[in-house]
Amino acid sequence: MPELQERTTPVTVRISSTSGRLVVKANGSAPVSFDGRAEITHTDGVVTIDGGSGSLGVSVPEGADVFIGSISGRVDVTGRAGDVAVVTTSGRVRVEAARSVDVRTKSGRVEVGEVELECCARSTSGRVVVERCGSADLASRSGQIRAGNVHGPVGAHCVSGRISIGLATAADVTAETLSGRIEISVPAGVRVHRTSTVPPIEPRPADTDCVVAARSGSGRVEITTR
Amino acid sequence: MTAAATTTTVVDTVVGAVLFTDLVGFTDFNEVRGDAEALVVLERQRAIVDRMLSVAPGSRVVKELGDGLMIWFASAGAGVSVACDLMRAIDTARGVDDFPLAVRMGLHHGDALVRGDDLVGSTVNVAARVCDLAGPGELLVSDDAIAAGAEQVSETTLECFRPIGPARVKGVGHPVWLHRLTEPDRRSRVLK
Repeated sequence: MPELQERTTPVTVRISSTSGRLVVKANGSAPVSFDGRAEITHTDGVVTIDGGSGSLGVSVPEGADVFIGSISGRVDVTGRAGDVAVVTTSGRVRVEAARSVDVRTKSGRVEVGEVELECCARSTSGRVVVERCGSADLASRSGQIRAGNVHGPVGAHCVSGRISIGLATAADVTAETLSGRIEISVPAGVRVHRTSTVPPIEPRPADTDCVVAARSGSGRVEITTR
Repeated sequence: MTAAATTTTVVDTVVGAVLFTDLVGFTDFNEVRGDAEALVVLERQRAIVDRMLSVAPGSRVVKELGDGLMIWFASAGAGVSVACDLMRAIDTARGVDDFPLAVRMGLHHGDALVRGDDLVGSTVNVAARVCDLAGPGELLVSDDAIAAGAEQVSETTLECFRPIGPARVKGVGHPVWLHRLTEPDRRSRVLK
């Protein structure tokens, strides 16, 4: 995965809408523009786009920080963005690539592609899927959590859902579900200290590389090496 | 023809911060582990909260809402500081004392109307919505609370908050900006 370019001119874009599909394209270096019904204001390097209901398309430069607030409607962030944050009540959220991600929705699925730093995702009743990230902080009340290729510490929390985490390196994991299976896969050669105390309190033994603290109320906890 | 009658009720208005807490998965926990264990969890949560509030003059638990609490602080600074401490205290209790559930919290600042022991108004409603948006083990704080409490809170504490964007909250015309309490070491890990 290519690293994000060092940002020389950070751009911050704040977008709010009430309903309707919202598509943000983070490509190239052209100035911020939009397609749809909205008002745009520029203040101290921050571009604010206030939309109402109806579809809204916004183009931002690659690496721009994007903050999105919406009530309902699908949200797509394509291209390669900087820090991305999305808060919505209902609607599927998808982020293709970003420096960091913070997504929260009540009743929609969350799909995240590649995240250089932390990926934080919350859904009340939707599935959370992350393809690749630095660290991960993931939660869903009743949906499955799946994160593969994670390069940093992981926190995953479900009430009733399955948790599946694939570590790309030695990193601490805290995973908890009241009812559902927990599957953690670690690279070959990584020495895991396993505990069911969540969060873990005992120090990691010197002869191990990471701590996996996992607890399921009524499901199986499985740690595998690949 | 009857003249329209108007009634004006004088009520007290107070300014401060409202914190909502919620035990994540409490209903399921109650179902699986039974009423007795659920009650113990509630009492343990309340004991932790009371201990935290004892150092914040003017703060109080306004009411219990099932497994959640509505808490009042006389200032935004106290709200932010105590909410952070409360989150850490519950985190510690989860590890050391095997407290079984994660808590989520939402804090907002503004004025509220006094109704007996209760408080009502938009500030209360927004605080509840902010809590709804928090994940397990997460504290979300509105921009209003951060701004109002900035001078009363240590710089170290403020640096732990990260903006997470504008939330559209039902009943509020403008987006409410939210901040999330983060663990600083989490973000330092990058892809290799």
